[in-house]
Amino acid sequence: MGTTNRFTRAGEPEDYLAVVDQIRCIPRVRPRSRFRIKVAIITALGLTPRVAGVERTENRRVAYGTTFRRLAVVSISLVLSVVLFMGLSILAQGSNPGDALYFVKRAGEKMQLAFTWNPVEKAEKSLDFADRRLTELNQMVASKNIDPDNIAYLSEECERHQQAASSYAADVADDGKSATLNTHIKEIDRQKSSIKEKIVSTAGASGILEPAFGAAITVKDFSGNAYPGGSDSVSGRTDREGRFAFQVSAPDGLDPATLQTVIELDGRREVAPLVASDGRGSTEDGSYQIAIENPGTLVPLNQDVQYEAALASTAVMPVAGRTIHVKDLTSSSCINGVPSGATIRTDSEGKCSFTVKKNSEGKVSVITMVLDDGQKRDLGEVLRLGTVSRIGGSANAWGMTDSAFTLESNPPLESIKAGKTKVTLTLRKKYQKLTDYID
Amino acid sequence: MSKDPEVVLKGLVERAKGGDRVAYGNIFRLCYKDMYDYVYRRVGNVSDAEDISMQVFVQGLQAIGSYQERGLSVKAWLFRIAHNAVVDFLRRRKAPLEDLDQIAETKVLSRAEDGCDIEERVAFMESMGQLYKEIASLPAAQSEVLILRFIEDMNVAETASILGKKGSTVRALQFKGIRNLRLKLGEADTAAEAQRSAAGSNDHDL
Repeated sequence: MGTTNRFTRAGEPEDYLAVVDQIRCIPRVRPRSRFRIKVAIITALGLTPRVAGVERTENRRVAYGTTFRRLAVVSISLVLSVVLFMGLSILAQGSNPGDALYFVKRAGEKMQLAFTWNPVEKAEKSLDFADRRLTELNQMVASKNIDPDNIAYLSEECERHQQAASSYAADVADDGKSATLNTHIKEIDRQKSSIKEKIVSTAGASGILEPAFGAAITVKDFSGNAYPGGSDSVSGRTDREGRFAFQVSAPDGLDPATLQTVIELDGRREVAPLVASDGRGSTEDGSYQIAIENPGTLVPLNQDVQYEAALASTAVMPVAGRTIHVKDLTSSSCINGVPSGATIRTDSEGKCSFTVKKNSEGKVSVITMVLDDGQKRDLGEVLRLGTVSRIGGSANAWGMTDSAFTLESNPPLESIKAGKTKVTLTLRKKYQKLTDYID
Repeated sequence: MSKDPEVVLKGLVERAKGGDRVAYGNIFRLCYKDMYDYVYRRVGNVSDAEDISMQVFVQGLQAIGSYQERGLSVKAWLFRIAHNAVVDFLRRRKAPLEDLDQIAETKVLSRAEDGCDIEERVAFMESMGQLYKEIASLPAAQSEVLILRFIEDMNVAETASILGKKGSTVRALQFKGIRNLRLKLGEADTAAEAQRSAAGSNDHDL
């Protein structure tokens, strides 16, 4: 008598169970490596794949004319094709995946391999082609063009050439040449690991990160010259792609430095300038420059944050013992505990320090410096500081001292001219951990 | 310290429902290989299976916010999306399944038992290929149930949800499918035995 189990009813005969056991032995079909790589990249980087039409174009049969015409057409086509191919091959050498002539480049490589018979030369050619795929991958990463389909294709092609080279190298009798080939094969492995790390870090650096879906966002202008959403501020939530669109009206053109955002997501509230400061200032005549070390854009509320600055001069002016007045134009912070600003002095190397304590989060602080060397010389704006605070019971990325988000504007804010412009901000999270892109 | 996979998956689902695309991506990565196997068996073509799998990824991403675990695991939920995508695809294609031998034999060799020699692997491959051919030649409803239940390891409730049928219907289809398969395999064995006997008697005559 059969036993009751998850799959059968009580009393099933043994041959029924035997069939079930056989079915369960059928191994699963494994996706090909190129597809696995593509899925790994897309899922690890939070991308949305291009979904090709599932329907395939059916083969179409073209009717030719008489036999003679058919032969003539084929002959002329062949000759033209060879001439065209030779010309295109020369043009195609520098092409990359996605370029119109890339298929010509690949076809040329296949022909070269087909007309090589010596195993050493075959192995060397295969390694050369693997190197080319690695070069193309490096170029793609360097141009920050992280396209999953192309990366998957190039990775697989590099792997295929490398394996072909290994196979040819196994047939090489000369130990010296065999050792050289194997060294080259190992070098390719090392370069593949290096590219993998570059892809992950470049993807992080270039902003291909988790979109910040559902963030509450407010864009505000303090100049009085721009009207986001038709007034001095506009609010909303980001969509699944992390986008927030609004219209900005700027009769005299837009100064992005006067805009700030308030972003709330994952227990974190950031009031930040839309355009960060680079922490540098200089006098109008260029005689003095000042640089703030690690300027950042965010500080916690009601806490002293220390900044180190270095004064330099290209005009061989003394930088030691100079007096600098530091002030927040928006009066939303204290400098060295003083609401109206503080005076600091450079040391023998031109270095100085000061503290900023933001006591109001409503406005981004605009910290300026004025040098006094007998004359008052304006060094300009050196810091633009917002605040970060915790909201709700928990907060992701709480340890981050700088903004937890990247923000891109389309069109770029600096390019917005006078009049009305639709702006789309795309917000992404910097704190999502990217997992390894290969299973 | 490793976490219980169920707990990990539950955490990923919560994050994915909140809009975390990387969490959804991790869920998909955990499930897609089995789902791909099912899709490939139904459509019979690598490129189409890959396209449909990507389609399932996108549809799942758009719908994960409304996923509710009411006796249906997230994996089974993805399978349901995949099944519907396959049905649409086959309806549009209106063509029979492609080479069953290709489906049966592709990648089977890589999954043959370790330690088997080549002859055993080939014999295993051939027998699995033949078995799958017989399954695929059953009525569609029966072969779908057998594939989901015994190759993809879905339980009755999950299989019923994926196929949009009742649990009792799934049980009935499962029973009929195995019965028919048993008959087909029996016929195949008989035919093979007759061939061997004929070959044996020819040798004897020589």
